[in-house]
Amino acid sequence: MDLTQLIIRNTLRRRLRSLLTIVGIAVALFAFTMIRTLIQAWHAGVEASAKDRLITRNATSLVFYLPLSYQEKIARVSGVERVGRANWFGGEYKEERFNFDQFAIDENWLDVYPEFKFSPEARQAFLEDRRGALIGRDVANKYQLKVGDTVQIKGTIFPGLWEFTVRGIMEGRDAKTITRILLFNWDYLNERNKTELNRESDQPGIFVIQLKSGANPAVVAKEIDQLFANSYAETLTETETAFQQSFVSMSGAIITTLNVVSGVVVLIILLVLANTMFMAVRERYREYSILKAIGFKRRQLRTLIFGEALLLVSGGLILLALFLIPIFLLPPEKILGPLNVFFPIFTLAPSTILLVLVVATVLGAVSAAIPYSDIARARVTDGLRRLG
Amino acid sequence: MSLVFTYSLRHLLTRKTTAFLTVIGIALVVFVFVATLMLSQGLKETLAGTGSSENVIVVRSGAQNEMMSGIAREAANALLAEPEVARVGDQPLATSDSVVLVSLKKRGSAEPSNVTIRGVGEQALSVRPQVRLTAGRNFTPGSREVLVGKAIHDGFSGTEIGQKIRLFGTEWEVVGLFDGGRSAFNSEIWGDVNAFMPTFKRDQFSSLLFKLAPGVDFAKLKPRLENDKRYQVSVMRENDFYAAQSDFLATFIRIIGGFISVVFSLGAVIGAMITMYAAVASRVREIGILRAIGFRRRAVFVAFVLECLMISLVGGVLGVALASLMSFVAFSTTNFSTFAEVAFDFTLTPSIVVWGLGFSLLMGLVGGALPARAASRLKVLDAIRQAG
Repeated sequence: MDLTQLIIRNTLRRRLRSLLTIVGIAVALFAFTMIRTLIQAWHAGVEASAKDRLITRNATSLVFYLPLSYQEKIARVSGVERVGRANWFGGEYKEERFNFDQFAIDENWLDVYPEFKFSPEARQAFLEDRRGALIGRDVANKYQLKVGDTVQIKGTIFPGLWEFTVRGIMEGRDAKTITRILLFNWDYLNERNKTELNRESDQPGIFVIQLKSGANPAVVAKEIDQLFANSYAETLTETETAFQQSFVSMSGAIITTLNVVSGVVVLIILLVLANTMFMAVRERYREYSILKAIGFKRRQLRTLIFGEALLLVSGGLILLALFLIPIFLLPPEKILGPLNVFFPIFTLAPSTILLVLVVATVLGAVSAAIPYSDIARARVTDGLRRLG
Repeated sequence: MSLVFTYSLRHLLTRKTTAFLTVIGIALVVFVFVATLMLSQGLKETLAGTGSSENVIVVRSGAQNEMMSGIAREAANALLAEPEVARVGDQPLATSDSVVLVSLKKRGSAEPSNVTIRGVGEQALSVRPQVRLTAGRNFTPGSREVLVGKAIHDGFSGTEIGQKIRLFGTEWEVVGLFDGGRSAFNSEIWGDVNAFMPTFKRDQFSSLLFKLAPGVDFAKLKPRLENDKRYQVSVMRENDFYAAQSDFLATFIRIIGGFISVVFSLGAVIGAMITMYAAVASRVREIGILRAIGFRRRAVFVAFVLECLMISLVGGVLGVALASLMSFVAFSTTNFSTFAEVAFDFTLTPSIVVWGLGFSLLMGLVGGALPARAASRLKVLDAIRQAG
């Protein structure tokens, strides 16, 4: 009988306990995987962002807008290839808030964001229709919208009912691109602000900036902000990644909590696994001593004990895969339910899978280490004398 | 019965390590469960405590928060002349506020967060009696002076009395600190509305708040004002208005906390089962003897269930005790509904303690029942014959 067989036999000796341990590991690893994925989903905006795209906003806060005249001034800064403008609209569709982002944008914006793919005809049709809209694939699928359909959005920041005609559907360049978005013409927003809402017009919320290749984002950003320093509307320019990160950081306390909780899960797995290994080794204390007496080396005992722990962990991982596969085949709105509004992208990342594998293996090793050191230290005669 | 109890207790004490590991496992689960309940309780109490049911808040029709709202001066004046508004002398007991967000840097972090800046009227402190000045003095009307809420003072740098906060290129001196009890006002900065509005270039108020005159029927007032074409406003009791802003975040915390608690508890139940099965297995002979000398199956079952309940209760008490320490931790994050920072506490209520302990006992019962049944079903003769 070689060692592998012995390990398997040992593990199968207390079938119920081994099974419970495997289920316990799988359940806890499941929680761990979901929490890590949730933390990752929080960063979806950061993941989708570009480090070489700049965003200029009002330094006071996003509630305040910027004068339209800044656009031309920014365009003249060296290193700037193109400047677009946008306003976050924040309206309700079908009586629900947060079902997708809506932005009023100008033509330049479309070129600054090449990750949204649509036909030249759609672009043309969109630009020619003041009330036209481009919608992302995610929105089109969720609400079964197609080109030519009418979308009615209730304004919250900009009151009133806003009606748009879908002129094109945008595909994402890759899985990272968030296509839960609706774009409409900035001029339409501006015109209604002026004529009907009595609001100050010509006030974009942010400028989006595409850099010339080779331009240093930090230098350009600084130069832009210096242009408007000590003016009424000072600006804050940063990379899109930093801009998105600032939204994530607003929920910093929640993310920290989730990180702590995922650490607690790791601890719970360790407790379950260590408990089982501890009991298994104690029951077989005498046997191990006999093995020692008949000439087993420490190294072989170590293989036996660590092997058993790793076998349990592997069982847990296989069961985990059986839990995860059907879940992640579902669309995010089925997995997350009401939380889906916060997380447009919820997929299992390879880095998360790797992390789970590493954590599981390390936990297996740690849980075997303590009982093994007991056995390794024991003198054969003591072990033989001891009662089961 | 007391014999059964002592038997269970003695056994726990002899198998210290495994019992200990199980206790820790359950304690961790209860800790997370209770901490989550405490957090959503704290959030609810804070936002519900922000308003009084005797006050009425008026925002633009369709606006979900004050940032989105706008009420013109003429409408505001007309509204405050309504007979339902309480008065001292001929002054309405009311405040017309202007609310904006400003990003300030958190203490010990370079990341800015959105802080609510509220321009208030002269009667603000009389309409909101829960807000008290704790240091310094009130702002002088018309001057660039501000009062800082307790949570902002604790959480953000540059907010000591005498320090200056920069808003729109102008300096505002901190002249006083206030404590809003348990309310979201603690996470705000207050100043004179007439000084703020020109600075922010706002010509509309964000909200009106007034105390109801004695004997006014709110149920009649609400439709009358909301249907008045001159106003185009939503009218709500102040406490309901702020409570509604906790919905998103509270739902979020509840769902995440619920998921984590359920998955964790599965892990803990499995851990308890493993321990109890081992306890049964190592005592087969004893159980046989107990049965032989006249203990009934039921007594054996009860003994093992009791043992598991004791473990879980100790874990539960430990978990609740750990969680109660969280009362000393302030939690501050961005409210998704307003994009503004809100600080709240982990709040422990008696019912949360009961839930936590009940949850731990439930885990003990579920984890102990199957092993206890296995023990009670052992055949007397087989059990006695078994070695070890």
